[in-house]
Formats: sequence, C-alpha cells, structure tokens
Amino acid sequence: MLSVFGSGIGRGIAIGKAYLLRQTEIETPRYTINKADVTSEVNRLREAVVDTKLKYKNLLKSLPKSAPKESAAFIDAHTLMLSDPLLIDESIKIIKSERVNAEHALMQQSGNLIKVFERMQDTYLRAKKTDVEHVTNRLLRNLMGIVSHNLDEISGEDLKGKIVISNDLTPAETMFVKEHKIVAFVTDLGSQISHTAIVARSLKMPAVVGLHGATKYINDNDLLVVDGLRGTILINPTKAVLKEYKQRLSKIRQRERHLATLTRRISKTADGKRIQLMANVETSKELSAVKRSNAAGIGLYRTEYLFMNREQAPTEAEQFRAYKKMVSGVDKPVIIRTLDIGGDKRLDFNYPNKKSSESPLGLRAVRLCLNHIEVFKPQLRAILRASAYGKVSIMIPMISNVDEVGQVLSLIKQTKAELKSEGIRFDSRVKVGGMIEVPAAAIMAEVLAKKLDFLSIGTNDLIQYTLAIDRVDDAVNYLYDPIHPAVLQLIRLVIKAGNNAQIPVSLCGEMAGNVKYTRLLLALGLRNFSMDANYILDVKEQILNVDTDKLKRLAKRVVNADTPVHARAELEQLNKETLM
Amino acid sequence: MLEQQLQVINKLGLHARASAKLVNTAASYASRIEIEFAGQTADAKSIMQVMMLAASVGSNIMVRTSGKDEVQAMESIVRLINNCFDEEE
Repeated sequence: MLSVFGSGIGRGIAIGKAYLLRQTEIETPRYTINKADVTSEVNRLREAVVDTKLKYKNLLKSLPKSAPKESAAFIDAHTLMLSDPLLIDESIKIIKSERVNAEHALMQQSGNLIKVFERMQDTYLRAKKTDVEHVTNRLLRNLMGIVSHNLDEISGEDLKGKIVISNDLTPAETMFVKEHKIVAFVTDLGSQISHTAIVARSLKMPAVVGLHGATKYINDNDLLVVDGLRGTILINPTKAVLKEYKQRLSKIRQRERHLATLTRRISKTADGKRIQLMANVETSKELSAVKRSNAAGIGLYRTEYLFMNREQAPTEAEQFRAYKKMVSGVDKPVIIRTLDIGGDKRLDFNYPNKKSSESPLGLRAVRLCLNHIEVFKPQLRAILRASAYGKVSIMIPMISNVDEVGQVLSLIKQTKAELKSEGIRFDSRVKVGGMIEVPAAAIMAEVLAKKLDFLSIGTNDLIQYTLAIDRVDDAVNYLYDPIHPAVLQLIRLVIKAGNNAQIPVSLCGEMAGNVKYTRLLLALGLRNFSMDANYILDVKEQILNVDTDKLKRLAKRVVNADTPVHARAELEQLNKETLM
Repeated sequence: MLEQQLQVINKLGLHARASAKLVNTAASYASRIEIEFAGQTADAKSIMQVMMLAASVGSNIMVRTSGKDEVQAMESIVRLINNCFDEEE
C-alpha cells in the first residue's frame, strides 16, 4: 500500500479503480516502406478511417441528452472530414508516391490543408484549422494505438465507477464528467479553487488535486481510496484499511440522512434571525438538487456555461429558452449573472479580445460585455424576456468602477425601451445588482450601493484580487486564504455599505458553502448566502444552532488579527466556543 | 446540367456546421454537384473543399448539378441555402 497527498476536495470518500488519462503530445514517425508494402500501408490508413468513424458514431450515440445540440453537429462535421478525399485520398497519393508510412503522409497532407485555412480572411473559417487538427489527431492516435486523452472521447461505460487520474481537467471536459458515473478525480494541477475543484464539489464528489506529479505512482486499474477530507489517496490498500474506509463511508451516508431531516425547517438562527439560503447553478439540470435542498431561490446563475463546448455563441432565442426554463422551473427568485467569460472559463469559439479576456486582469466579464455590445445585447434581451415568467434579477460581474454600473444600467434601460416598442413582455421592475469581486468595488461599496438594488460578494475572485494571487497558478496557491484579515475587512465593509443603503447583500463564493466560515460570516452581519445546493443543509444546520449575539466579540478578534495564522486560531476558537 | 446563382445569407457563411449539412444533402444524390465561388470550384460532397471556398455571408455562389437526379438535387441544395441551413435566426 502506498499513500500520496494533495489538496483534498469534499468530505467524501470514494473507492474505485484508477483510470488514467494520458496527455502526451503525438510525435509521428517517418519511415520509408517497400514497394510491396504500399498496399498494406494504404489499407492500414483506410482501416483507421473506418475505425475512427465508428468511434464518432458511438460518441454521437452516447452524447448526453443535455449536451448542446451543436455537439452533435460538430461530430457530424468531423465524421465528414474524416473520410474527405482531400484528406484521405491525397494522403494515400503521398504514401504511394513517396513510399512513406501512413502517419507521415497524413501529417503532411493535414499540414497542407491547415495552411490553406490559416490563409483565410474570415476569422471564423480560419479557426476551422483546429477541426482539421482534431480529426488528424484522432486518426493518428488510431494508427499508432495511442489511448485518447480527452474525457469526451471515452465512453461512459468505461468510466463508470472509476477514479479519473489526469494532469488537469478543463472546465469543458468537466461538463462531460457529470454524465459519466465517475466517482472521484485525482489531478496533478489544480487547487481548492480551480474549476475542477468547484465542479467536484458541486457533484458531491471527493477529489484530490495539486498532486504535483504524484499521479505517476498510480497505474491503470489500481484500487484506490480517495479521501477528499484529508487529501489522501491510498493505492492498493490492505484489507484492514479498506474495511475501515468502508465503515467511514457508511457513516458519511448516515450523516446525509440526518441532514435530510432539516430540509423543511425554517432557516433562522437560535436567536430568531432569518437567514436566506440560495443556490448557485450552472444549468437547469441542477434544478432537482436545488429543489431537494429547499433553497430560497437561485442566488447565482452562471450563464457562461451556456456558451461553453460549442462553436458559436447561443442566439438570443436559445438564451431566452434556457433562462425561461430555469426561471419557470425553480418558481422562486432567480438572480441571473450576465456573461462572466474569461479567466479560466474559456470558450471554444473566437471572439474579439479573447486573449486579453483569458488573463485574470484582462478584458473579461462586464468589461468584455461593455466593449462588445453585440455579445451583451442579445443576453440582456433574453434575460429581460425571461423576466416575464418569474422573479428575475440581473447581476453584473466584476465591477471595478461606478461608471461601468452606469453604462450597464443605461443599456438595460435602452433594451427595455426596445422590447416595449416591439410589444415584447418583460418585468419592468427587474432588479439590478452587482458583484463585488474587485477590491476597488469593495472600497467603493457605499457609492455602488446607492446605484444598485443589491450587492453580492464573489469571494473567489475577491480573494484572488485582494491578495494578488492567480487562482489557477499552483505555485502561489498556498497564499490563497479566505480568512486573510484584509479579505474579511473588505467583506465587512461591503455588508455595512449594504445595510446603510438598506439593500440586500449576499455572498456567493465558495466561502458561503463552507461550514467553517458560516458563523464568522453571520457575525459580520451576512444574512444572505448563495452556494452550491449540495451544501445548503450543512450550512442550515450551523445556522439553526447558533446565537448571533454570542458571536460578535469573538468574530472581532478574527477580523482584527495581525496575521492569517492568528486569524485562523481565532476562527477555531470562535467555532469551538459557540458550539451549542 | 443545371446551374443556379445563389447568395449565402446565413450569418456565418459556409462554416463547418453549414458545410456539413450541405455535404450530407449533396451526398444523398447521385448527380455530380459543384459549388463555385471566387474562381474556385468545390465538389459539394467534400466538406474540406466546401469549407475551403471560405464563402462568408453575402457571397454569391454558383451551384451546378449534373446527373440523373440533377433537378431534385438542385432543388434541395437551393432550399437548404435559402433556409439558412435551418439554423436558428
């Protein structure tokens, strides 16, 4: 038995067999072949085409119902490219004339085609070279017998019950994970706050990330125990250890049953303060979890997920349908956040300033939207149209100055006027709020609170920007600290500003769903939490058992601590002393 | 042989998805089907060739069909292009 350690996600334990995703670059060999072998070389290529085609066909069949319908069209286009004479017949000609192996001939012809695409004027068509690369890579892997490394290329059947081991998972790949019955993740890269971690949490799936190369000790089909709470992975555990873990697993299930009994209880503290618990969602698929948790509504609907894994932006009509589905499906208030593209949330298709948007300090989120009204406007129209079907609020991400708010507000006003003149229904009293994620916005919260109907603190980014830590950079991850006194002071400042202006303030970052911070946040005056639906009952349990009057003195000591270490010690004291 | 001039009216032009639909439609006919644009001719049954025409929105293209089912083939292709490849909006 071997143990490796990383950063643990979730409280759960998973026991299962390892499935390794390999991420090697393909190096194609070049060798000459004898005249007698030309026919068999040509056949080898033809067989690879037939086989790869079959794989596409199976992928099409296994595509989740919830997958955007572009996915199917994508696969369709790739299937056609795969047997295109320009790719295959020309490669065969190269095999024959140059007497080279199939891999080399294919690479050469694919290179010729890519060059043509690269020269195209139209940026959209120019980007199509990636499709040619994609198809070529699949064929090459088939020819060379290399196991594919993309999660979307592996059938759900192969992944069922498995623990996926990889270097990293992209947000796009993690969308497929939801469909396959994977039981845990283990990755070399990543941290508590990377997307892989957030997805694992939302799936209530244990994960260990940030292994820094330790995945090399794991082989395919090793029996693993992944302990999300401790951040450990046991490789081929002994019988006694396995037994102990199975017992812990059943205890965890017991606790889940206990939590379920809290579902219908009114969410208020022991001293009678009503606390609103809302859910964060990405797609309407999560509605059942939201309902199960008895959340007071959706506190954060991340619309950018509608734009992922596809080759062009959804139209206004498609967005409207998605928003309407969410709004009518939940039958409670829904806060729709406008496009928060950028940072590590990447899109497949090209859009202006894409490169800048991918930097955490770049032209992302509302900055991108205000610079590209043609992207923003259809979304605003779709959200407003959906507001006719329920209680909808609009939330603006990543505000860094008051002018941005003014611009968005006037754009919304203008959009409303257009809809009105077109005779399209919408809720004219739609509330508009802003996310406080940038320190500048937190410091200016008093002013922002006068312009907006509500504020929502996005702690993931607020911590990143306050402490100057790139969330996806593994090397500085150790500095990421939700209870850094600077962060807590900003949170306190924002809550005060909201209270003064008599507008609601919520907190929708990962902090909201972590029971370690529930009492501290209550003490800072927070009354609205929005989190992954899976954590609502845990947080509710904390709320039901706490007297906020008793928290104040101890919370002050946390916020006024000199160092994060002291703050942590004070927080422990607070959680211990106020235990009922 | 039939010949008809058409304008590409869907927003993204003959991109991958639209090309795929065109090629799938073309493949269901026995006739030879060609698309000509800006001095280049593409076999409508080859997605690479169609995409390489780089015909964006507003492009005037020439469709040629020749063979036993050339009339039906032309009808289907024209309908597809004029219906914006059945894309939304």
